[in-house]
Amino acid sequence: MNTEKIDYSKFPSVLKKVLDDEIYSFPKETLFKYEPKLVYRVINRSPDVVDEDISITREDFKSYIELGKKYRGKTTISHYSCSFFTKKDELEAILKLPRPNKRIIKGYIKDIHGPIYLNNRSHVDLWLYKDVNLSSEFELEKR
Amino acid sequence: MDKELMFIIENKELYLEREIVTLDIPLLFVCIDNSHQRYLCLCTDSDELSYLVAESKDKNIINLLESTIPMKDAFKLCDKIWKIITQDNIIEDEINKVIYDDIPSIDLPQDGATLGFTNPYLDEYKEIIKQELEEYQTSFEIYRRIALFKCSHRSIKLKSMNNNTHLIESYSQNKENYYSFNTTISV
Repeated sequence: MNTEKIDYSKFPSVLKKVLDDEIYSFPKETLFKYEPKLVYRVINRSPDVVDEDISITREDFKSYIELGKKYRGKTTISHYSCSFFTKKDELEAILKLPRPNKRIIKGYIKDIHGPIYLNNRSHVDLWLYKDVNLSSEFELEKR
Repeated sequence: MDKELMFIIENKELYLEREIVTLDIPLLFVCIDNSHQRYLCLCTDSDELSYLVAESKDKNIINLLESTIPMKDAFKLCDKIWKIITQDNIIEDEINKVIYDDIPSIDLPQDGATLGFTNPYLDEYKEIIKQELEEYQTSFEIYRRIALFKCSHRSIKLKSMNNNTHLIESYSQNKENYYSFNTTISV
């Protein structure tokens, strides 16, 4: 992680608050500078909707916390991120799980979008800067 | 690291052990209780936050992780399954024991679909479970042989020589007759 001071005001208010209050901090391996990465994400859409009728919106990139969804277990800074995967196979497993109302989208993430954390799976946490809208940079992966 | 309590079923606390498939929250994962029993857990509705939790044999989990059985079958092979609708307070979770055949197909993985991927995080987990199974089987085999030996000898002594070799010494009370054998346990 860069040692220079991170400007928390670049992040959405919910994330800024927990960073300011030192409730959470970014993992030490967080990357603020990185090469563009091709990543995949799933979005919720009814399986009945045809590809042509699907438009990707800013809402599709909101974090679990921003969406105000329930979860079980401890909250971590990961819940404030937008999840992507570098490999499609893990996402394809998600499509095989119950309520398959999900579709895969793909696009490039860049350091101008926000810092990332990569774990030893193919999962990527991206903490989007508040002014970033990725909707136009992602496209639907054809079925 | 702190254990993450996920469910309390029949007074047993189930802690998150390993996430298998995660999308913001764990969707398919394994919990473990204090007696080292593992449970296969599946999020059936991420809005309502409901789950299927199945008491599973370790071998079943390995088979799921190795994609040698469909995910659905991994649940079918479990004897005890609970449907859990979570509440804000974990002790107020709505928990109902269910029979596999009564579970609506919408709450289960697709027919015939295997996990279909692995990663270093899951490979490491598979090895942990396999190692535990191996140790358990080795211990079981040693105690089985000891039990057999005890039938014909008054006293025995067990010495572990290395990971897989155990010297079982057997002798009578006056040590006039001394028996020993070296046995390599293969599991």
